[in-house]
This record gives sequence, structure tokens and C-alpha cells, in this order.
Amino acid sequence: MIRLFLFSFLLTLTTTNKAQTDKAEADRIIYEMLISEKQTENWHPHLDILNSQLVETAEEGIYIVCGDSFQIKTLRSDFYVRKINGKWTPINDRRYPMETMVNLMLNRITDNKHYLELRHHQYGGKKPRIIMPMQHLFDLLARNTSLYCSVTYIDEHDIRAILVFHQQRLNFIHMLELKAHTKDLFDASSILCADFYTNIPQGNINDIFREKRQ
Amino acid sequence: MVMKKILIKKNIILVLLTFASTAFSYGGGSFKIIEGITDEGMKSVMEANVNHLFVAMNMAASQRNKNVKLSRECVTSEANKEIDLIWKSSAMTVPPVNIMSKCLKTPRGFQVRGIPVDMVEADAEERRQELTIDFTPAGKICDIAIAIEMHRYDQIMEEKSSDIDYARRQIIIDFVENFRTAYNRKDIKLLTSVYSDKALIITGKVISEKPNSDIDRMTLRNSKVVYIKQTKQEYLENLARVFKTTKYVNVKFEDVDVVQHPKYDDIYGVTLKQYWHTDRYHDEGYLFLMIDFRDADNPLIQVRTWQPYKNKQGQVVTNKNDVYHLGSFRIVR
Repeated sequence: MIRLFLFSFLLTLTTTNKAQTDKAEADRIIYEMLISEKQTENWHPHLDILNSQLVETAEEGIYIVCGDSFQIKTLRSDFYVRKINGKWTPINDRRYPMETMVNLMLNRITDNKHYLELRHHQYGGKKPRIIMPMQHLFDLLARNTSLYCSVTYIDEHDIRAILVFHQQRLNFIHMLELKAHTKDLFDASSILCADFYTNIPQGNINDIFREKRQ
Repeated sequence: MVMKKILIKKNIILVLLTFASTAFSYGGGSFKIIEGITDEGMKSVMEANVNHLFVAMNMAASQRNKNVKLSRECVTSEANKEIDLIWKSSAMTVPPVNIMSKCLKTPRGFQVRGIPVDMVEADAEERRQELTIDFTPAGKICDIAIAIEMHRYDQIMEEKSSDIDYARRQIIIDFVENFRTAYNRKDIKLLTSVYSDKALIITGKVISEKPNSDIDRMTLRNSKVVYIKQTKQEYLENLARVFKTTKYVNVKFEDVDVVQHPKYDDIYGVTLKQYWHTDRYHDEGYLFLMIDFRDADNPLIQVRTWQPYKNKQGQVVTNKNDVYHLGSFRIVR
């Protein structure tokens, strides 16, 4: 556990120290971490829920645990819970695909057995594909970052979402765009496909949504 | 109590008989509750009522009836009205599948969700919908609705177009950071790949003229920016020469603005302040990039302009409002 934490901490330092490591190098380091055959430790954030954070949804017994937003109001750290045997439990239920997707993306589902097929967009136009346990991604990147998710599309067959890992101190993000068949969210043997963009600086942005000028 | 049980049993038998005699001919699905309720009697009533509904809907759809004939023993008049309302917009059929549902306890009674139905009048891709069915505490169908998720998801889809644009804008920031890194790495190969072969490249240069008067000298009217137009090949050849003759290049970007073209959704303009440092030379200027996002995997720079920020005396020669932008160029497709 300690080894993985140090590994993850070093990853943050090496991938973002602009004086020593540029984007090409940072992208390469992340890629090497992702393809490493290190055992996944199944790390999840603590499920500390205050009553003041809970907001009822239109669904019977389903609550939002309110978090915060990042850059746009719909990119949020909120996740969905319900009470099972007196304990708040993150939703992972085929009747609630959107809620399940959000929980999956925010690393709230503790028995996440999914695999990801990542297309890693790296410096130089390289886009290698990596197949790895989804939990491996969280183990590497979620410990030192804040996670924000937005479901961008859903119908009865397909679901798409954005996940942003924000490194606050150094102000950069990694962004995952995931597309899946809705039924695959509930099939642990399925592989979910995603595009992955790493080390996107945010500190030098003045306005990402500047108004259109004729 | 005994009387009530007898009545319930009688109703179940009636419904099952009706169902058995018509289900075969109208080929609908069958419905079973697999969890969420322990009272077997109640479970049977609810299953029988839903199966009755399926048969009635399939029968009405196949006979093109204007409404669905339902037994008052199975469906309340309110639910009947709901069904008639849905039927006005489209008839529904139940696909010939075995439907297994969980039963939820609600403040009004019970609920089952995710019942597949086909809307006869809908387009093929929207035909399959899901029903939510509510029951009274006695197991009678008291409400029916297209699943709430579908309405909610429509709302989500409307709201989320800006989120897709958000992702694309972050991809542009990623592209711009790769572009910056390519200068620092003197990576001519990458720069060659990101400029369109027909890219328009405009570079500003401060020209100092001999002042004609003291007023000119004081007001810096002697500083003038002239613009040089280059092709991709000319620009990259010059850049390659710079890369060869300098020990290092250090480019920084600040104040990055991303703007989507008002007419072409796949064209973005990026304006930023560029700090250029080499061992032989340094400058500051405004950079504008028009990025063509039609091939999202391989965005291309169609226009690059650079305008000097200050002259040698440290006086501002380009204001931010004078920086090239998307509206400065006409796109011909």
C-alpha cells in the first residue's frame, strides 16, 4: 500500500514538474505506469456521508451525495447512494444506469471488476491502446487528484461520460471520455472503451469558453 | 378476511382464464416478479394483472382499436385513462419475451420498472421504450407511465451538448500544449504534421522608422508593425534554421482563450500570449491559431498569426483587441 502511494506521489511530481519534465515525457511516464503489470490494490475514497450532503432524487430511496463542480456546473463530484441494511451504499443497479455510470467513474463502486480499453493520446500523435483493469487507473491517478464526472449521453443502448482527474496543486487534468453499451456496465466481463488525454495544463487558460466573436 | 381471500382468488382465476385464452393468439410476453415481495398471493395478483394488460394491449394494437379494453378488476379507472392517453399518441405492443422484474415498495403501494414495450408509431430507433407500472396496496394497476428515466435522459441530453463541447475544448488545450512542447523539443516532424499543407502563416514585425518630428518621437508613431505572409514550407524551413542555430528554445503560453466558430462547429480559434526565449533572442507576442477539428483525431492548424506585443523600447505595439481572431478570416469550403 505504502509502495503504491509513493509510486503515485512520484508520478504526480514527475509528470508535472515543468522545469524537468515536459508533456512528451509526462505522457510517456503515465503510459509506462499504465502498462506496468503491477497488482491493483483496489483503492477507493472513504465513504463518509453527512446528512447535510444528501439530496433526494426523483427516484424512490435514491439520494445524491452532493460534492462540488469543476469549471462547468455539470462536471461534478456528486455520486448516488441508497440505504441497504441501514448503510448508505453507492448505486450499482441495472435499473439506474446513469447513477451506476457516475458511481463507476468516480471510483465509488468497490467491487469494480471492469476492464478498460484505453486509447492513450500522447505527445507526437501516438495513440497506443492499453487493456487494463479499470481499478488500476484509479489506483494510479485518483489518490492525488479530485475526480469530476458528467454523463454526456444516454439512451437505452449507449452511455457516454467524461471523467476529469484534477491535480489541484499543480493545476493540470487528465481526461477520460468513456463510451459503453449500457448493458456492459452490468457485465463485469465486458471491456469498456475510452479515450484518455493526459497532462493537460489548466494554469495558463484564461477562458476555455470565451464568447464567440464575429 | 376469509371472504376477502376468496374474492382475490376468484379474481386471479378469472384473469388467468382470460389471459390463457387470448395470450396465445396475440403472442405477447409474459411477466413474473422475481423479488421484492414475499406475499405469494399479492405477487400472483400483480403478475396476473400485468399479464392481462399485456394481452389487452397486444390485442388492441393488432385490431387497431382506438383504446385498450381492460378489466376493472385489474386496472383502476385512473390508470385506464393514462393508458388511453398514451394510446392516443401511439399504440403499444409487448415483445414476446419473458419479463422478470423486481417489485419495489412505494408509499402508494408497489411498483415495477423497465417493462419493455414497442411504440407502434415511433421511428425504429425510438420504438422500444420502458414502462413503469404502479399498483395499489391490493395489487391493482393504478398508474402506468413511460419510464421516468426516458424523460430525465432527454433532459440530460439537452443539457449535455455543452459538456461534449467542454471535452473538445480540453482536447484543444491538449493539442496546444503538444504544439508548444514541439517548439521546445525542436520537433519539426510534429510541427509539420499539425500545420495544414495550405496553412496561412502571418508573422508581424516591428519596423522602426526615423522620426519626422519631436511629436513622433514622443508618441512612438515611428513604430510600425508590418506583416509577412508565409507558406507552411517557407515557415518550417525558416524555423528549422532557427532550431539549428540555437542551443535551446523555451516557449511559454499564457492567457489562452478558446473560441468556437459561430458558423462552423468544428473550427476553433485559440488566442494566447507567447513568450519565446532562445540563447540568442527573446520576444513576446500574441499568437492566434485557427484549428480545424473536422478530423478530431488529427486536428490541423489552418491559420497561424503572430503579432509583437512590444517594441524594443518596451512600448506596447499590439493591443489585445487588435489581435487576429476567427472573424478576421473567411472560410471557403
